[in-house]
Amino acid sequence: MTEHLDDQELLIQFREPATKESSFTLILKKYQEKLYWHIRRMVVSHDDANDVLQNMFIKVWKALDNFREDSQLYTWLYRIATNESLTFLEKEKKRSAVSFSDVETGLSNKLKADKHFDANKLEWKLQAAIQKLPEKQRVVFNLRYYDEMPYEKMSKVLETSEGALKASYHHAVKKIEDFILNS
Amino acid sequence: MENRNDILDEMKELSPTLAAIGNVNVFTVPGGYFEYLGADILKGVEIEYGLVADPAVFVSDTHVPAGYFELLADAVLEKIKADEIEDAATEIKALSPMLYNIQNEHVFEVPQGYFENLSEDVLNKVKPQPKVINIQRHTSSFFKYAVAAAFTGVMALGVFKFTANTKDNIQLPEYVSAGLQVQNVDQELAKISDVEIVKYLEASGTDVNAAFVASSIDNNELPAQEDYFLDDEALEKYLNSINLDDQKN
Repeated sequence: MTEHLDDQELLIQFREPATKESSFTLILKKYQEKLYWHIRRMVVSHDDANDVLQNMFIKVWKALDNFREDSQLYTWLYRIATNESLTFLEKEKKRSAVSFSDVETGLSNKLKADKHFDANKLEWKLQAAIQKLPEKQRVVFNLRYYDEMPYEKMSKVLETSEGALKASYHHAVKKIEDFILNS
Repeated sequence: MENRNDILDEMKELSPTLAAIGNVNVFTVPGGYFEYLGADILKGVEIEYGLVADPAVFVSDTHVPAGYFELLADAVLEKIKADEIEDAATEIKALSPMLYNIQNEHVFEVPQGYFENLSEDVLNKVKPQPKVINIQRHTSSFFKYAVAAAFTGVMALGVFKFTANTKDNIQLPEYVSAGLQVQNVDQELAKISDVEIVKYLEASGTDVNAAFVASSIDNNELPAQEDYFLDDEALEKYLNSINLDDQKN
């Protein structure tokens, strides 16, 4: 029964000590896969994605009591996942004390380290091309291409105008296509 | 071009019966139908393309529906948004048919059972954990206070000696004043490492092991008063239960 509760009901239950954990588990189960894949496409390796996902849910647990219901839980969670992924990549950049292009190389290397990696397959070429995009353009591309997120919702997640997002997505598609065709 | 008479003559030849019925239209249309037909078609076009939120707002005998311009912007935006929702796939198909064709190819894998266990893993991290008393920290504090007492003693003696030999109010050297002005003993002691403390105690002839025992005893854990009556070796057993080597590490 509880599997079908909507977000608003889950939030009400979360505020009750007796149902706090069970409602949190339901929220987590409801969104975990979508958020995992969103993060995974940003940070590439499973271990990094798992760290980022768990940390973000720990923060969600702490902040959910104060969540304002004038925004949707779905967009709020995506925003946290995006920010946590970008923060993780920023830390990686600082830790290795390298330039941005070297972080791209790092992500490309993680991609190549995957046991199924095949440079001749189109779907892997696509992943390699995505890693060449600037971080925020990569977020926009992934949200639109994989999650099929409407620009209106994406605008709330990324706090950017719909027009700018559309332009960003179109640029990203063209860059990816060029990379695939010329590599 | 054939005229009407030619067509009638043709019909007479083909079927005199039909020709005799004549060309009479048996159907009728509502009054004024053709007068408003053009306006009605335009209305239909506007509704179809989402330019009017509610067809009921039309007043058929005017050129522009009532409230048309007030509602126009909202209606257009609504239409654009409705198009957006359906269009992530259509958009990529138009932008790049190649990317559209591989859209559902997923290359990454997830360890088996990962999602089944994730919620439990996260809950274990967010639930409050039982408090663990850090004996090592206890020990360090003891030593630091012991050393503080020793230093204070030395300093007090030094200052006493210094001031006792003088009859006038002599200004103290800066390093002595600084020592006397230490407000936060904990903060100052935190700067001293355990190794330095042990070295100091050994150099000053203090029994380091005894000090470890004393510092690691938690009053709440000591045997109860009646235990001493029941068992002469209660304290000895308790002391043996403490591994001093572990405490040092």
